Formats: sequence, C-alpha cells, structure tokens
Amino acid sequence: MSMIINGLYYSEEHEWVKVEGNIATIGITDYAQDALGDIVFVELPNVDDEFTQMDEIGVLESVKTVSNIYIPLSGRIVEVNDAAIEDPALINSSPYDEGWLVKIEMYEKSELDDLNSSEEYEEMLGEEE
Amino acid sequence: MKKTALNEEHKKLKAKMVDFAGWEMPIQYTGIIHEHKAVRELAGVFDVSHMCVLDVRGDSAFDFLQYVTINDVAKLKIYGAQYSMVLDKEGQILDDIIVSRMDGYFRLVLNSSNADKIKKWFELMKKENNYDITLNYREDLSILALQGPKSQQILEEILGVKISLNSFYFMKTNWQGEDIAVSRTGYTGELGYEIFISNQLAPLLWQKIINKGVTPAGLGARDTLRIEAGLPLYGKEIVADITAYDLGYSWIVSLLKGEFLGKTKLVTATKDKRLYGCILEDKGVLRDGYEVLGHGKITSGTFSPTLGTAIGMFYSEKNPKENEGISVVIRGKEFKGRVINLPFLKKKINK
Repeated sequence: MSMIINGLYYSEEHEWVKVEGNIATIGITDYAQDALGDIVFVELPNVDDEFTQMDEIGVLESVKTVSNIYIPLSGRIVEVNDAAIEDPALINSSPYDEGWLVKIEMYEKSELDDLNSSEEYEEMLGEEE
Repeated sequence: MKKTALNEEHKKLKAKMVDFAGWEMPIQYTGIIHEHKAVRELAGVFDVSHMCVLDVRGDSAFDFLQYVTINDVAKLKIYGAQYSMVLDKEGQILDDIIVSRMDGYFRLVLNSSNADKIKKWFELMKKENNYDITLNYREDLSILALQGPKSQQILEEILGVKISLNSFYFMKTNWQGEDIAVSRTGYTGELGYEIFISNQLAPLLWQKIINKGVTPAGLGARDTLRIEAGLPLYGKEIVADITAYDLGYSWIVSLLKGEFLGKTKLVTATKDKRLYGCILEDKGVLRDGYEVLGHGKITSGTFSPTLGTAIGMFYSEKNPKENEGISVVIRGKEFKGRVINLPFLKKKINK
C-alpha cells in the first residue's frame, strides 16, 4: 500500500503539492516513485523559470523508464532540490520529504481547486491498483 | 497469461509482475539496482522458465540441427552446449538459441518470444526434408538461473554434489529422487548455472536457494546485467537483417559443415557493420532508439548499476576506436559519450 500524507494536494500525474502561504513545494508521490523504480537521474528547471499549469518542467529517469514532470500549478521556480539532483535515490527513499523537487511562487491559487485531496487521491489509487 | 511453476513464489516475495511474451513474470522484487548488485557481488536467482525447452530425438536429429542452425553441432561433446542461431532460407535471423548435446538426444533453449514462430518453422523444415525426428517441447520443465560469484558454492551445498563444470557444459545429478540437469550458462556475465528441473520440484529448489540468502532477481536486473556484459537480445541487437558477424560472433558461423539454412547470406555478408558500446559522459540515461550522431541508433540503453553511468549498444559501419568521442541525441539535445569495445565489464571468470 502506497503512503499518502494528509493535508497535501495531489495531481492526476501523481505529484504532491504542499502549500505554505504563497509558496508551493512539489514532489512525486510514494505511488509514483514505486511505479518508476530506482530513480537514477533527474532534470529540473532553473530558479526564476516561469511555467503555466501542466507545462513540462523536467524529467525523471529510473533504470527502466523515463517520466516527464508536469507542473500542477502556474508559477515561478524559487528553489530546486539540488540534493535530489545529486542523489536521485532520495526521491525513492523519501518522496514526501528529502526527495521534494521544486518550490514555486504560485500565480493562481485558484488552480489548487483542480487538484485532489488526500482522500480523493487514495480513491484514485484504489481504482488504479 | 501463462504462469510458470514459480508464480506463487514470486507473489509471496511481493514481486512486481508484468506480461513478458505472454508470460506473467517478475520484473523486480526489491529493486533493480539492489538485485543487479547482488548478482555481481554474491548471487541472485532468476526464474527463466518462460524460455522454451525443446528436446530433439531421432535418427536424423543431428542432420536436422546441422541444417537449421548456423553453428557446427559436430563440435559438441557429450553434455556440451553451444550458442547458435536459426536462420530462414534468405538468411534472416529467426532466433538465437543454445544447442546442447545430451545423452542420446539434443536439447535446445529458445527465446520465449520466438517459440511459436520456431515451432512452426521446425515442423515445416521437418516435413520438407523428411527428417526422422521427434520434437518434444518440455513444458513440464522449469529453469532456474543461479548467477553470481557465490553460485557454485551455494548450488553445491543444496544439491550435495561437487560441481566442476567448464563454461557451456552440463551435468546430470539426482536431487530429491529426480534426475535434474545443471548447465554452466547464463545471461549475466557472471559465473552461473541454469538448472532444468520438473515443475513439481522447482518451488522446493527455489525456496532452498532463497533460504541460503540468495537475492531473487527479476527481468529488470536480467536486462541491466546482460547489457553490461555486452550480450545481445533478440528484438534489440538481434533483428532479422543483421548477421552473426555484425555481433562479432564469427565463431558461431560454421561455413565448412556443409549446407545449412541461410548459408548464402553469411557467405556473401559484407561484415562492415559492428556492435559497439557507448558510455554516456554527461548525466542522463540512454534508451533504445536514441540517435548516435553519424553512426546509428541505440539498440539497448540503460543505466549501469555497476559503473554508475548510462550505457548502451549501437551498430556502426564507421569502425570507431575505443574511447572515441560520440554524441547521443536525448530529447533534442546532444549529450557527450564515448565508444567502448564490448563488453562494458571486462571481468575475468575463472574457467
């Protein structure tokens, strides 16, 4: 059973979003890291890059597959997780904490309505499994 | 989906199962990197029962195999095995196989993805030439591949016999009241064995191996291990229109043994194409189909758990030298790499 954290927002593409004021931290869920398997390479955008909701912002490569990262909210990148770039296995071992990917300054807080609650995400996984 | 006799064992170990050529097979248990390293450093065990085992018996068994395979079956000593290929009349590769000489018959191991095609082909060739043979597909057998530097010691402890086999040789031994066949073969580049055992006994042998602390390994690790070892896979490196020469395998072509299927193509082959390795120097991962600028396409790409870099294989007609710089196009960008003469791991296994 995949771990799901209460209080976060979840996208259909298996990303999680943690909101603190105007800043959103984005990562991939436990389900996503498990589905990808051992992650060995991560490509993330640069600080100050601007994106619109659902833009492709980077790539995760595991041993067996490659997966694009789509940004679930519009905004400006304010921080990227250099530790995860250096050691992508952090995304497998700690997807909700040390393995976060980017922090953005949100442009449209109303876009959060497009995302799922933890309960909704759990239901979604139930249907996939 | 077809299931091997070890299907329940994989599920007990919480393996991720996938459809592989119509078989429900484990892609990984704990993780590809962990399983891969276990095979390189200690030992891992694979269920490869999806591979098709074919016993060929009868007065024309030898003549039949000389005709339908490219290697010389006459070179096989008793309990010896050889790598070979089956070609059609135009010289297109239908399968790459292992041919073994058992006591009074021959045993072939075919790729599961080609099994149906080969069954039809062999039936046709048997009829066309009136060979006096019986083709017995051994669906009653499982195959376990125990691979890694500790494999010999572990297998000797379980089977209770001394195993001193040269590479590509078989032995028969009795275990739990059954005659089983053990061959020193594999697909990992490590010391290793493949054990041919009844479907009834296979789960017990699997459990005994796991209880020795051997890591169960899935198809994911099998692929990364064989790529590091520079071993070709049917459908990737081995496609219909290449030849054994392109793989650097002239030693499996026996032009002197008389007539055989596909001989004309091999006699007239140009031999200017060759399979090479690529190590990526920039950070990234190589995948099948990526373009190696000026050479060709990556046939199998992955991340090498042993080297910690991306590796891949590609064909080139440009005769590149080892360590020569090359560029690979990944998502529209050029990444730097260099040429490696295969295999990637130049590891010596005592014979």
